[in-house]
Amino acid sequence: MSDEPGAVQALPVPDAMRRVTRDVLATLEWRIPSWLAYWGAVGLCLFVWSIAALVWAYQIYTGLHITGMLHPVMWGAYITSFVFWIGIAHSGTLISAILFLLRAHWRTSLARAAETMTIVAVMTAGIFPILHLGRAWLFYWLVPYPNERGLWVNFSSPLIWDATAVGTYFVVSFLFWFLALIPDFAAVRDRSSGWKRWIFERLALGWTGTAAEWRHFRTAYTLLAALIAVLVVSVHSIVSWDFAVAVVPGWHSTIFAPYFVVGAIFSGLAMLLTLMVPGRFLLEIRDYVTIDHLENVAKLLVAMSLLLTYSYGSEMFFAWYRGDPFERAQWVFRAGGGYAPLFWLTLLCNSVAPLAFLSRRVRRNTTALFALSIVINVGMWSERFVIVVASLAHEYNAYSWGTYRPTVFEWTVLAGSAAWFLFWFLLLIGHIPAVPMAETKERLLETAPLEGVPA
Amino acid sequence: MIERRQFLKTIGISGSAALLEQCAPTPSHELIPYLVAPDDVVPGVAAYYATTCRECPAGCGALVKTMNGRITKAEGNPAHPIGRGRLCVRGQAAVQSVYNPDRFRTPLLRDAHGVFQPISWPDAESLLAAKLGAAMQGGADRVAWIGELLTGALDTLTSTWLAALGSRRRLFYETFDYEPLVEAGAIAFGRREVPRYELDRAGFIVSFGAEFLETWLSNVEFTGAYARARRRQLRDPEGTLLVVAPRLSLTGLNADAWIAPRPGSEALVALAMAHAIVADGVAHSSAAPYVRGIASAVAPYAAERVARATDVDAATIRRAARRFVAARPSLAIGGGVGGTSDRHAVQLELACLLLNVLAGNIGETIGYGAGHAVDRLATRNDMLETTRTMASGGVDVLLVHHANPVFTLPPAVGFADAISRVPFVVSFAGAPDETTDRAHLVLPDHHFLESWGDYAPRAGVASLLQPAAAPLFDTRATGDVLIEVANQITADTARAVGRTTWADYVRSRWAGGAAAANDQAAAAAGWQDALASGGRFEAVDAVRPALGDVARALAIDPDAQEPAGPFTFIACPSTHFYDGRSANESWLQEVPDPITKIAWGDWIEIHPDAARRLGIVDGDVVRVTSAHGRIEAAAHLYAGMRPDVIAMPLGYGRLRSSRHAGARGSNAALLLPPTAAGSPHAVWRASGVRVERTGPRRVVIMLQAHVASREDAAPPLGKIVDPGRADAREPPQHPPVDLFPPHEHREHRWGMAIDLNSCTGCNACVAACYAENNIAVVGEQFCGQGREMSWIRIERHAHTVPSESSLHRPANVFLPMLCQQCDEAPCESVCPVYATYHNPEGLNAQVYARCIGTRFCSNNCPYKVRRFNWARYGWEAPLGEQLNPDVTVRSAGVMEKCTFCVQRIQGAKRAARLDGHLLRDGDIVPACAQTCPAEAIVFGDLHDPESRVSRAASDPRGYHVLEELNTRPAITYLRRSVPGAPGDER
Repeated sequence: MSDEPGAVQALPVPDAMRRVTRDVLATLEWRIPSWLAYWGAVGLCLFVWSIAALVWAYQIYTGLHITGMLHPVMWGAYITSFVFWIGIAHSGTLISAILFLLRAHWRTSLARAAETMTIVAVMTAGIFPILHLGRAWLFYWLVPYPNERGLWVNFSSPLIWDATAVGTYFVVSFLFWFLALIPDFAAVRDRSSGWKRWIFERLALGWTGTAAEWRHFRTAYTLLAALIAVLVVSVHSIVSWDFAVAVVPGWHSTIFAPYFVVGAIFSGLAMLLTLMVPGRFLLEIRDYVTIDHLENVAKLLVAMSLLLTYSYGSEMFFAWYRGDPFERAQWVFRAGGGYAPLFWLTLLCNSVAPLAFLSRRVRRNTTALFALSIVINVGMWSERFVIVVASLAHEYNAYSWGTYRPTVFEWTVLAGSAAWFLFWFLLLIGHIPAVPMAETKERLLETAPLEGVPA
Repeated sequence: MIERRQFLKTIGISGSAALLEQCAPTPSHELIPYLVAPDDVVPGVAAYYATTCRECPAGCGALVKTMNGRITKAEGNPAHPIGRGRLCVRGQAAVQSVYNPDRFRTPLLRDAHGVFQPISWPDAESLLAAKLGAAMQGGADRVAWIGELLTGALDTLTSTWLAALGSRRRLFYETFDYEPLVEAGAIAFGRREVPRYELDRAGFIVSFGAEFLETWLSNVEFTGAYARARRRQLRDPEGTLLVVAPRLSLTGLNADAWIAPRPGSEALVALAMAHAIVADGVAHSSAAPYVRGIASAVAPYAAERVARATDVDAATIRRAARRFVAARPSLAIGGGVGGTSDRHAVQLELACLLLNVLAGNIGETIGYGAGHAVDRLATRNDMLETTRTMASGGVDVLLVHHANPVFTLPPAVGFADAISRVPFVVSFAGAPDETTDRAHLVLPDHHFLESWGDYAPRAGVASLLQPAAAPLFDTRATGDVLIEVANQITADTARAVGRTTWADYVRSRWAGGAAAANDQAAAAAGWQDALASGGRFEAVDAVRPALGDVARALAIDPDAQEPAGPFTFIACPSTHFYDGRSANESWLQEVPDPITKIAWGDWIEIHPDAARRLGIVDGDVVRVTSAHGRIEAAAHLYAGMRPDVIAMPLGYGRLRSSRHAGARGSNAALLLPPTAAGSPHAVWRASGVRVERTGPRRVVIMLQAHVASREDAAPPLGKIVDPGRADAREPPQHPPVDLFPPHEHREHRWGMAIDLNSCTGCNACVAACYAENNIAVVGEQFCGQGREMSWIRIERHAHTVPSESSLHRPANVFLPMLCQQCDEAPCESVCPVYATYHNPEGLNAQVYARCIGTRFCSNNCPYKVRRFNWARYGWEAPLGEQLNPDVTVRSAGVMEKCTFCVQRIQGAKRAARLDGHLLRDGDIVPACAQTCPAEAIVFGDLHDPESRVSRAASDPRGYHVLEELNTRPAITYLRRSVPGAPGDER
């Protein structure tokens, strides 16, 4: 399987390396033909999330009654979206860390986009737990530090685990992302002047490209990759424990950790496709992010979809097998109650639709890839909605069953969160080398015929 | 350039100036604006006043708690024989009506444009005196008085006053009268009075539709008595209560057995029971002198013969009859309001009296000579006669005193038209209603909690009313107005009434009775005693009269089937609003109806079978049309009635735009005839009504999402047990396992036991909790969104026990659900900021100030008893004056829940410490347990093996809700005893 950019690879190595530098730096040079579209999109995103910010301000002022949440369903679209965005954040680490450690080199071209997506997705996800608080202005009470209030956090609460895990994940992902960028920043610095040079000088942290620097760089990168590989598993496991350690029927299940991790990777890969199928056109990096890369992502998606289907099946099986009437009632409700359309939509989007990727033609068709990635995103959001909302809506006490519907305010905030995500993603990916230059060149060297090695 | 020293100086000076500014005294607002404080107002210390609840004619004794001069809570007066220290949901809510924002704040006079304008009291009184003087000139009986039931001082004053004005036209009008009962007493025993019922002595009760747990006669007293009877009859395989009625009221839902005869044929069922007793020769020996007479009177009513007319099979009637005689003393109670009032109401009462005679109950569970105040109520005939007089211009001045006949009389009576023909209508109402809408002059009376007065609901219960707080508004006691006006009309009227104040009038009449007037010290002491204890109470012996000839009065055609039309309409009294009078109290609107669990709304009950036939689904707007009018409301499917019955509670359709009651549905009385066909009595039924679907579904706010039943995938949380197994202890299904060390509760472990066998689902505890704990009323919209804030709620769970031919088993369980104060609380471990934690006495304390509102605790609460403040809830002035200063008002964004009334726990501990004794069992009583008329809730220390709660919790019927979750609740529920409960009941 060819896992290298064909057009570039065909060139003699020195030319290829120059070409890489030229192509990647072009994405920073305001010369992209579509820069109007780019700034239009950034502006639109800014506008949308500003509206959402106003809604949040109104919510803080007037109370959470503007949401559709009610007595049994105290968590709604906000927490659903939190889980969704945390899930999105997972493919970044998967591609950068796990595939790196496994030496799956095709990941190189996608790594920058995936990692950027990760950081931005965590930034988006991190808003929701604060946004949904009854008294959001006191969110810092969740941080354990000695303080004059004489208060401390309850470490037995999954919410504290959650805050810790997500915080750690953000810090480590950011370091990993930034570390990989240092040689690339240096390359940009060397080819720019004026205030841009001033900025990139600082971002490159004085990188000069000596052998010692490269050796330290490689060591640090591998170590961080190993560390972050653990986080891939841990973060979403802990997010799942927000639910699994509760006594709520439909949440209280030991399968939740692997099930959520699989779901997270699944949704993250789908979001990567959603972004990079148009992104490789926009940034003109089709030579680097080729259809082969996209096809590999699609293959991973099929695998994850099958794992997810297995999780669904085992969850349902054990709901029946363990004989708890409330757990059974919950599943009867999911499949036949008011939220049943979402339940079946989830199965359709996550278990059935991705099977289309078994066909090579579909995998290599960018339109199909894009469309199915959207389908999977929808399916994953609705899966989390069913888990969060349907379980709460139909708990032990029949007196307190209830039906939750997100209000227009919540939809606005959700749209705002998507806009916030795109806003930062576009801003970042448009101002850093969108493909890891150093690593791509490294790969060119590794795979080049020996005689091509420059003197 | 500034020097360093200069800089420091400047900073120092300006900084201290700024600090000094902070220290400057802010203008102080006196919370207690007394120059010389009264003795009984100590800031922060509650003062209690014994008085009488006048929400309905039952006249329960009340202790009113005031803090800093404001009324904050009403509780029952334990020394009072009526209520025995308990109040019902309406009594609890009475406090709120003091602070009703719609109350009249000054006297009002209608101007030329028909708009009320404020008027001063002297002007108002001289105007009234002038009008009355003119009316007196017109002749006798030109002045009419229609008012609430009075006894004692105001009774004397009004009759003297009216007599001085040359009028005898005084009607004590109550919406629900007891005329058939009084008349049956007259026919059977020659006693024109309501008998005294002693339910607690009965081994078996048959109620022919009497709503004795809700509105009938004296619901608090009867609820307590019924609960005591149930507790005694716990192991009786036939249960305690049989209800014979076409529709199950709350009383019916509490029954062990239900016979649903065709509407209008209840009397036949009773007579057939009497026939069966006589035919089987099982009548009690005390009935021997009457058996022959009764036998001939009931001869036409053999069970087989009436089976077709009643739709009840003969075997069921015989079975009920046998049981009735066997369980001596038993008790048959005649028709209530919605239950059975129709043209055979008197015959039904007579038949019940016969049953009681045959079972030897006279003098045991039913007695005469009780001297009920309700014996004095105006009859429907009196009302019709006065209405006609008013319509023909025979009344010049009509005085309406705490009555709302324009709303509560069926419009077919024509009272609204008649009142518009009266030239001058005066109302003493405290708040606007349909009758004040038609008044010319409003002279607002004090609220009864601000008034002097007295009321004797029955002989031997002389109950005092004293003001618990100064009047909130510029109102004036009606007694004072009458005295003042009489002094202004003529010298004669002045002499007749005398010149005194109303307070002195009450006091002099009270003291003048027992203690001789010459012994002033004794009189003063007696008065003080009465003020402290709430009145003078003494036992009155029951009379056991001889049975007269009843045969002639019993003429019912045993074969007649009740009439025409597919449906009979029943207008039933509302547990919360009585006849509509309490509908403006937002607690009563927000606490859901005990049967349907509907809040803030009206509904028409339709049987599911009938609805299916008519193509009506839950929530459809339907129209019910009778010969007299039509009503529209949303349909509510209710299986607790016959398919040929349609029902609607009274109290909706208040025309007046009072803020909570107004514009809410239709008045069920619109469908009713002025009197029953061929009888002079009021009737609460209309036969031959039409039902049709008129509109699309409307949102009906049902706070109970689903009435759990055995058909559900998961079992109901409220459990039942067959009487035969009430003493069989079931082994715990799940041995407790713990990863963590158990909590240590060094001194106390507070706990509660709730007897589901006693709980009647009356909602009194819920209203008490609203009053005690400053629970926010969130209103109609928020209730519809599932955001009500109640800390305790009554869940209705319906079990299915197979019926035996015509004998149905309602098998309802009312489960009071409140925070279970779990030992292993799921809420505690998930709170990230320790806003909820386990306190050393076993409470799940909730620290509002620490809560940031993640709401995980609520999600993880299997009982769903935590409430979240979705918004800032306010109290419209002056409702906020009612707030309990001992309880924090919660802000938006925090979670709250039941605290076991921690303020009362702390208060009792403090009081014990000050008194120098240890806490005793019973020192601490949470608001819910305090008011429970059935005494179903017991609170105390689980560490003390001798405490009432420990003993109750070790009852074999005890279980914890969802104990399989290992939450270890501090609340033990005792299963309800239901005859025929299946053995596999989890």
